Amino acid sequence: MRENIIELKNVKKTYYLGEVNVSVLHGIDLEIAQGEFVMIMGNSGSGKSTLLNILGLLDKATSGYFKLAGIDVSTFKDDELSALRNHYLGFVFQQFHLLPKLSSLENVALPTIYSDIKNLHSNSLAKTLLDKVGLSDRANHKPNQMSGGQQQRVAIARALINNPIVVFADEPTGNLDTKSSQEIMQILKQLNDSGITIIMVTHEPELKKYASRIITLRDGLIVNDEKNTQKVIENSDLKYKKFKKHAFSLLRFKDYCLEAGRSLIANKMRSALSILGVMIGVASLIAM
Amino acid sequence: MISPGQPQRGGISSETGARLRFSPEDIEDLKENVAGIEYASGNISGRVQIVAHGKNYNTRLEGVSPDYEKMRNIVPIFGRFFTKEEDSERKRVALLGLTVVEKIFGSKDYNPVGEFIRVGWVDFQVIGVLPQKGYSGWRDEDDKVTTPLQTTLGRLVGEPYFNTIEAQVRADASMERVSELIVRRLLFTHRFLPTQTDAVSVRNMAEIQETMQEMSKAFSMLLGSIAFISLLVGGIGIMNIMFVSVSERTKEIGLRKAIGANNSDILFQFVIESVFICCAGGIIGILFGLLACVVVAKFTGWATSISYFSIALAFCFSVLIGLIFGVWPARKASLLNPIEALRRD
Repeated sequence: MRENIIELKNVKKTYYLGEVNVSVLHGIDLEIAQGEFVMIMGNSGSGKSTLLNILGLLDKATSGYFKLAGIDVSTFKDDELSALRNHYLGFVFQQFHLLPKLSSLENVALPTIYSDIKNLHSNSLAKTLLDKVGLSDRANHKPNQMSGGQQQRVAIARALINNPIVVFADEPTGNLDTKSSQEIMQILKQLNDSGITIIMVTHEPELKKYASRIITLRDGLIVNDEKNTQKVIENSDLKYKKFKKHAFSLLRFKDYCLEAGRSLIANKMRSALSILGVMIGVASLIAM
Repeated sequence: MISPGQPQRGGISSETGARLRFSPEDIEDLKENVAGIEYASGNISGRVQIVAHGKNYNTRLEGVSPDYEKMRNIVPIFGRFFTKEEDSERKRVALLGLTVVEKIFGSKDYNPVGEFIRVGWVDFQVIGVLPQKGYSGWRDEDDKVTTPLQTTLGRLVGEPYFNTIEAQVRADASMERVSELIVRRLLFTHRFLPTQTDAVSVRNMAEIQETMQEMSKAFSMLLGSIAFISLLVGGIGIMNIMFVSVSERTKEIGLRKAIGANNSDILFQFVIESVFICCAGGIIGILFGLLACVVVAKFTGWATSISYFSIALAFCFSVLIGLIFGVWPARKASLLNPIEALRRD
């Protein structure tokens, strides 16, 4: 019997927009086992993105029971959810969402800043991952120097750096041409073969062949749940990954300073003018 | 001007143009009849020509009472101060300042005690050398000759009147009360009406000092508030820029949150950014401030002083500004919802 990585029971989501309540999910029951490649499909407005956000702990369900990797997360606070995301999950977005001022290597290593266990080899790990997605020669390139497919591969490498058990992909091929799409899907397939559970939202039916399970949503309810193949992929490394509740530590202070310095250097003119303002104040305070 | 151990001193002078003039008897009279006066000394001064040792020198002559020695804590370098008897007998004795000794006898180290000098047409014997006083403003306080008051009045001025009495009040007496009594006594002895208090004016050194201090305090407070305001404006500029930065980087914040940054991570990152700006501004500002002080001192000749306290204050203050004005935008950033932040264009 494979372990269920995700268990949803009667999960509902309602958005409160002023006076009107918009109900998006009307009670989802779902169990996803480890090693599955799940594709969530459905028309726009069917609630598939909302479901993915809830599964990815980016959003909270209004009601219902949600167990991720054996942890009941329904009562978790924002900061605890952040730590869980960092520890267990990886994300791949349609828009890639790479930080434009950072090189691909730095982009890949970004999540390690927020992880509890300080990985002293995060740079070499990032290199290995870039190698894995076939971009070892692009380590020092900025996102704007790469094609969409390459950017998405960097994003996948970033999703993998903290050794996640689930990778969420929100229309990862939505902005890509067919060839790049196929490359991306191949990479995701490889990840799945290594035991990582993949949950992907898409509305491209031709990608169905990669999935082991296809869930169709309509109007906030699961209307179809078909399983293509029954593969059993066990990866004991992932199964025993333990989660430790995050405690705020000043160990990250160095990283904060680094990040702050980075963004100040990125906006040189703006920083210089702000510094000038303070400089005049301090200089006059001293001169007087 | 306050001498060591004698914080309270008043000067008494007659009103300009009034008939009230002080005579040496007034000094004794005041000391006897006004409680609270410890020492009192008349004071008359003017320029005189000194001839001695084949040299001719123009200096300031000061006629004072014997009490002056105690009031100013005078300890002569050579010789001694004159006595009460020498004053009342109008002895021709004089104490020289160091500058005078140097000009006439060639060296500051020369001991002129016993030498004779001619002041005007009168010969005086040197009985001592006054201790070094240095400069007060542009005036060389050592360029003077001190003689007994009555000698000066009787032998050099020719009339027994002078314009200033300096009095020192006892430490336990109230200065206001004593100056009131002095005025009343002087009006009485000089047969003025008790209402003519304008005929005598009493200047209180402490009062003058207080006024000066208050003026310079008000001045530095004015300048300080201008500096404070400019720093505040700089801080608001930073806040503005941080808000722009936050809204510009909404997507970045969303992503950072998605990959595991919690609220305090984002908060810290942005606060540190603004503190960095303020630190950098503070350090460069300190350098520029010091440079400005040096340049101003060079071109205007003003004595500018830089206190380490004000440097530390300015720096700490700028860091504080960074913290305060950085927190609001940073808080706004940290509370962003990751999904909405990622979706925003």
